[in-house]
Amino acid sequence: MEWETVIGLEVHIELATESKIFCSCSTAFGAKPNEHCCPVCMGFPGTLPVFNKKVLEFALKAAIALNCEIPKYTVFDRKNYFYPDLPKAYQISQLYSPIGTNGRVDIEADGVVKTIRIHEMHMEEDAGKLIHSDIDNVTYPDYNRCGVPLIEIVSEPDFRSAKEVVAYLEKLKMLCEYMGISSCKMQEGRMRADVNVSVRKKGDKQFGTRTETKNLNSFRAIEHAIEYESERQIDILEKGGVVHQETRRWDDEKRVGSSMRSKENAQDYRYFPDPDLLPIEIDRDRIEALRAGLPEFAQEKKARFIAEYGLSDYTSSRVTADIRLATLFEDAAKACGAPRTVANWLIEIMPKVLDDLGVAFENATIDAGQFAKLLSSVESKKLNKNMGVKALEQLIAQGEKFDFDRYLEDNAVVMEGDEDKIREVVRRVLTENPKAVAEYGQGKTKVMGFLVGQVMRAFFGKVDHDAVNRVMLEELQTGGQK
Amino acid sequence: MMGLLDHTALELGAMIARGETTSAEVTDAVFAAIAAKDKDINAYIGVSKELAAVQLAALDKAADGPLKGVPISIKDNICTNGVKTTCASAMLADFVPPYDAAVIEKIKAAGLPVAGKLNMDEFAMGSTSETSHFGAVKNPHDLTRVPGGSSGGAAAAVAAGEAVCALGSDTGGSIRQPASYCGVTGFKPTYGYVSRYGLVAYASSLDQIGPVAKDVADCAAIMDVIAGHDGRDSTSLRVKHPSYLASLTGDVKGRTIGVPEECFGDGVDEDVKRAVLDCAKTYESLGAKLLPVKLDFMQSVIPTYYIIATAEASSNLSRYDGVKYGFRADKVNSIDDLYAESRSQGFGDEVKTRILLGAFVLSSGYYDAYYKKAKNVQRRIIAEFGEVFKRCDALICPVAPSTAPKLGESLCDSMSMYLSDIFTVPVNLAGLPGLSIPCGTAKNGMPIGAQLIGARGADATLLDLGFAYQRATDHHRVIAGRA
Amino acid sequence: MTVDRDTVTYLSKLAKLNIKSDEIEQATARLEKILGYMESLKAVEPTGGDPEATLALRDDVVLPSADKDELLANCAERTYFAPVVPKVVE
Repeated sequence: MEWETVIGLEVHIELATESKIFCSCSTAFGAKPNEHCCPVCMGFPGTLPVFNKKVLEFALKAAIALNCEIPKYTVFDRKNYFYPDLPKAYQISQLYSPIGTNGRVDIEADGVVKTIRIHEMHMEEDAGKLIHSDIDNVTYPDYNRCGVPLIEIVSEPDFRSAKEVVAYLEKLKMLCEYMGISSCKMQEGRMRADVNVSVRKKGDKQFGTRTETKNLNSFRAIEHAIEYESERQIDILEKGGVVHQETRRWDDEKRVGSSMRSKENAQDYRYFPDPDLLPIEIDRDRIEALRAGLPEFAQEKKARFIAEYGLSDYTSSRVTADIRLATLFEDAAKACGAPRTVANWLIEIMPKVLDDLGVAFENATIDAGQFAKLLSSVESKKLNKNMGVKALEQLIAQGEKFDFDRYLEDNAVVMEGDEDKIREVVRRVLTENPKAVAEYGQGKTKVMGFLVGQVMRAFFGKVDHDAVNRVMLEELQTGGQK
Repeated sequence: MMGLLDHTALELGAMIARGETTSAEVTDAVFAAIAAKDKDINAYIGVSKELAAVQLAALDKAADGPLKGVPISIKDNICTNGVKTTCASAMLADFVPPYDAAVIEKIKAAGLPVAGKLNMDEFAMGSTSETSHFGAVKNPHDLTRVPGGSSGGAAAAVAAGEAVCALGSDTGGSIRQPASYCGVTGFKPTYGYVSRYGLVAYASSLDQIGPVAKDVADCAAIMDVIAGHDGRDSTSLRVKHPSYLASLTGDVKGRTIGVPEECFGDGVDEDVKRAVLDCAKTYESLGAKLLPVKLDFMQSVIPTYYIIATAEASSNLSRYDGVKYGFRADKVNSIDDLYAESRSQGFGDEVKTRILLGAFVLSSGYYDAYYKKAKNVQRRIIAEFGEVFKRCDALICPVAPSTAPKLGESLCDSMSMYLSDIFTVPVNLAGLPGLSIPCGTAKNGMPIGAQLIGARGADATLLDLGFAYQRATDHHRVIAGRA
Repeated sequence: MTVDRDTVTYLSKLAKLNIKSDEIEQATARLEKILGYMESLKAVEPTGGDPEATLALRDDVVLPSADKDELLANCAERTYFAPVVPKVVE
């Protein structure tokens, strides 16, 4: 029998504001427990929420990018439930009048373009985190994350494969990053997904019973959890069993899912409009202004880079996969006039350099102007490639402190044009190493590497490697007769 | 001979300014009165001698004003930095907020020493001040009777001369009704005129802080201190407040006062009707015009109020879970146990009932039938008031259908307790200002209050009307024994 | 509207309140009485229209957070960095 997997997604994205949604505490990641808290985000008696206008701006941008309908008034509701990561015992969220409804977004998976419908998207505050101690058998609530602004994007059950889901998440990530509204760093929990999975016989109109797997925080975990869950359900149904509606968790280490609670114990959240927060009026002109100000997204940018800079399809998609990379490319390409070199360095050399330094690209500050100068010098052979790579290392490691002009002064190489200088040293090295020269004459061409090395050393590496090679070859073949 | 505490707050402020007495002397007199009288009245939960001493020491840094140096007492649901704020609940019996309510900041800046924290119904839920964890408050006019509630401590303390003036809060009549039962003046401002930041929430969309004092002029002077926009309260209104004190003219000529017939029907004590109608006639004699009006929504106000108030309360009070602050039950095995035991032991019966009611009206399947419907009725009430206020400057009606009941009488029948709020809750539902002024005494010797209701933002007009009445009559002084 | 024991039990679970079995009877009766009164609320047509006031927003500015010790001073049970609760399993 042929089965079809039906998937719907609820994606939580933390917005990249400086301060929390309803108080002025920092949203920065990684502070010690309960250091980014105040009476408001810890829900003290008598305290009140005051809404951060940046959250509205970011959420509106997202709603526009997802082609949502935006109401004239949007309202915050309280979602009531008890949990130790929720100090007020209600989450300020949206149910009755969310900021966006009936949106859609196109994705491409396996070369097929497909439209995913967005049921709704809303703004809400994040909950805290729980630190568990097995030794003392207790839990410590950490409220730092309480009040970090989130948008939740709820899709229709339009996905039929894990690949489509990943393509969609990548699209959301790209949109958010391009608009600068979220870093979407999954490892920091800035983007998380709940996955609703059901299966049905191919051709069936009715959906099967679905389960929800909560809080998946990597693309890999999402892919695996979906595959696991769909296989589990198919297995049950093929054996004549029944799938139960339930909430499930996913252990990505062990790659197994397990039941958390059945939906019969479903929470009754008693949503109602938050009386501490009045309706928010959304001006139509504002929407149009924000729409007009949306950035060029990856797809259009990719096409333009191919057309304007002559990049290949592959290179252009690599470069535009990340807004910061794309911006760095374009700024550097304009400054140094060698777009393909820039692109190659960005996608071939830079990842290795970053890797060696142990720096993530998202944390690196790379000045496009310095980078452009660097590449111009390599292009004009003022700097050999090795020295260029070293310069890039320093550019990344030193950040703003790095001064390429000074670096070039210190490291400018003996160029092709200075061939006489090179030849002089080559000849000296050959004279000093008669044994090696003799071996070369006997056909042991490998010794050439050694001899070139000697020359490079004499120049302290500041010499064009290709030029040394060429001169050395000439000198060896002519036996210094020239 | 007249004692220091027989003076109004403004009189004391003037005496302090003239050097006839000092702030320390008046504050000490308040502490002495508490020591002498509060065993019987139980108006206070705590006396804040240390805080007052700190304020007195820094008094010359405070801004000048007519109330500078005059001690004030605070209902115990208003947060005071470093001073216990209990809401008269076992739940918060040891709670010390690390912040001041916005009104406390303003009071400190204006140089009013805080004398103590006043008793009340637990979490402001009640109309008698009997549901306090710290024992019932007694009415100074008759210790066998309730002072009203929930700001019963505020009204009783001012009436008994244990406080010069006070801040209360009013969600459904909690300032006006106890003021009426105790023969003092109480004012509930327009919703959004006084910041709620630091007021422990009962029903957020209805709660408002206001003054309780010996007369309208004192209330106006306190409003000058506490009113104003506050960026920490999103429901705070951005309006320019006049000086309420300077706006008192006592001239009511040309004013039209509506008399809603629904408020003088069956179920209202004859004594109350007579006294309030006499009050209306006084206005007529002072040059105001009386206009009979109808308020069609009166049938609906009590259910509407209880649905909205309990829904919000059930959510507002969920934060008391034994984890971050407040009462925590011992010997619990799980997080759910910790929640349920802490809440069950920490809250009193009235609070628990209202939480259950609120949970019910919001629960799955009932939201539309109760909460949503109540919000629609509320909009209609607002609209109807809007129509009425096109034709008149204020309405006059009783504050409560009867005078203060005996202790224990209303707790037996919670529904009659709820019904006693019928004339006060519409004001909260519509966000209007409401003023309670003493207007006579019933045959049982208990004070009667008249209520003036104004359009939204008509606070100055309303206070001026009350001022005119108190300038023309002596009820507020006679009842307090100051005439 | 009739309120039964099950409703009260359900609500007390939602609200995290332990109502003892002998109290359920009383609570049920009280709720029924009050809700009965609320029944009298006749449906009215929503008046519709725009809200009377809209929300004021604040700038996205970080201010120093509160002192942790001060925030935790009211905890009945805590460690130096957080409140303590029975271990939560989920």
